Amino acid sequence: MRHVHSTQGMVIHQYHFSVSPGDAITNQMFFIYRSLRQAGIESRIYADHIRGGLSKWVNRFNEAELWNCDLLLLHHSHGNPQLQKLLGIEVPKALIYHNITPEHFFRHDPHMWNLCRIGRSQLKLIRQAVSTTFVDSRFNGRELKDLGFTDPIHFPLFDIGVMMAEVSNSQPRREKGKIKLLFVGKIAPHKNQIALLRTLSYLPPEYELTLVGSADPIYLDYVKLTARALGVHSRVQILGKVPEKDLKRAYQESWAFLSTSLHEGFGVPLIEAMVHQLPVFAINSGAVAETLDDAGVLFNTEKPWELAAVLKTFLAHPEAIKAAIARQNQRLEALRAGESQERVQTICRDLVHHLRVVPECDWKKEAANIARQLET
Amino acid sequence: MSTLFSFDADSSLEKQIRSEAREELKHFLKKEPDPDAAFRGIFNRRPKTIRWSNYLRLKILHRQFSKGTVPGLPVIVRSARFLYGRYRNLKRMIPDNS
Repeated sequence: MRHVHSTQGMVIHQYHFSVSPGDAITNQMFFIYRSLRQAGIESRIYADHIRGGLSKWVNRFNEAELWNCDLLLLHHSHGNPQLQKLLGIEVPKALIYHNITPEHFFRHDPHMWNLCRIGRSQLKLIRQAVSTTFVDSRFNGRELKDLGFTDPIHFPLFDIGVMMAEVSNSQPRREKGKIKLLFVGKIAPHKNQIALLRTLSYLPPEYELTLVGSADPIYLDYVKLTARALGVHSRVQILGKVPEKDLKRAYQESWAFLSTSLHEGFGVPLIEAMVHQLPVFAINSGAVAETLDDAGVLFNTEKPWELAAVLKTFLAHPEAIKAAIARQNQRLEALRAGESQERVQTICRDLVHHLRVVPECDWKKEAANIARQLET
Repeated sequence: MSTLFSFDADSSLEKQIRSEAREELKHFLKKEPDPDAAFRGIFNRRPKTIRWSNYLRLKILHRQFSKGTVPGLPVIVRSARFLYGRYRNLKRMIPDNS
């Protein structure tokens, strides 16, 4: 039995099938990478599809290089053609589950439909191969529990303290005479941008909508044509995927964040909007209620005319907006402890220590025990 | 209306917002008593803001995203692919004299 209480020589690698700049999973991978490196833990990111010039920091998947790590963090969000190879590598593995969008949203796209369907079926294989399961929301945890995973534990997505410090000096740049609404997220059927357009169509002409995020080309076509048919096209700005500074600007120029998304595994943009001091209005779907936790305004309806009536009333009451933002700030403070770099370091360090100390026993069971201890 | 939204604030403010939102909603519904029918209407009669070719595309896309299928579309796509294949074959068979 070997007792190791330092991070010296500790190696933790991460893998996800694809990485691209601005993507929530990629951002989390870099956050974990930085946290581990700061704690003196050697770490590398591996992927098969490396987009947007990230190949400087991300390594192409190479089985041989992964054999010598103490822990492999396996991110899973859709079907992974390399899964068999990954599971064959005999190192302790932990799953970080990011939720898989239900395939019925992709009936127009056989490739995505298949990826989502396969991703869900692969979870059964992953369950047998991982020592610990991490999730970014209780919503995702419930989904895994239904599939037979034991005690998924919360894993931070980002460092809220750092995010808050980055925007602490930023001032709103709202244009006079216009009320800009913002939604950040992939332009795709499950994000339901059509409902945003319909909501906009009930609001007076001074209301405008900005959409930020990469796009499913067929759905984007549908969104553009619907905006034209509804006569709101001149009030809709589709920015697409933008660099960090433009995203920040979009938050600064907006009056409110409006989400009609039908599926959210966590909802990072909801947090970003709260950090930028924007009131958040969102439909209660997926993990939205859990992420907001009574902060912001949670819609219990999906009817665009009802959303418009509530939104218009709120935005006419500065005291209501102030109250919503105050509640959101309380929520951010509550999230601070759980969503931090220190938390990532503690989880990973404790897990690896434990796996090293008890190599001969049932390490799966032991890892589950340590996970439970961390949870409490 | 009371379950339309959740907002954690002092009760008098919440009450005021709810009552004003109710008035706003009445105003919307007075202008458009059946909003869903009005939305469906744009797929039955071409709005002037959209050209015919775009309108047909919109109708197909709306059908695809609301119902999941577009009847006849797979047959049309398969037929078009078949005809295009035949056309390319024929083109290959005809000697190029230019």
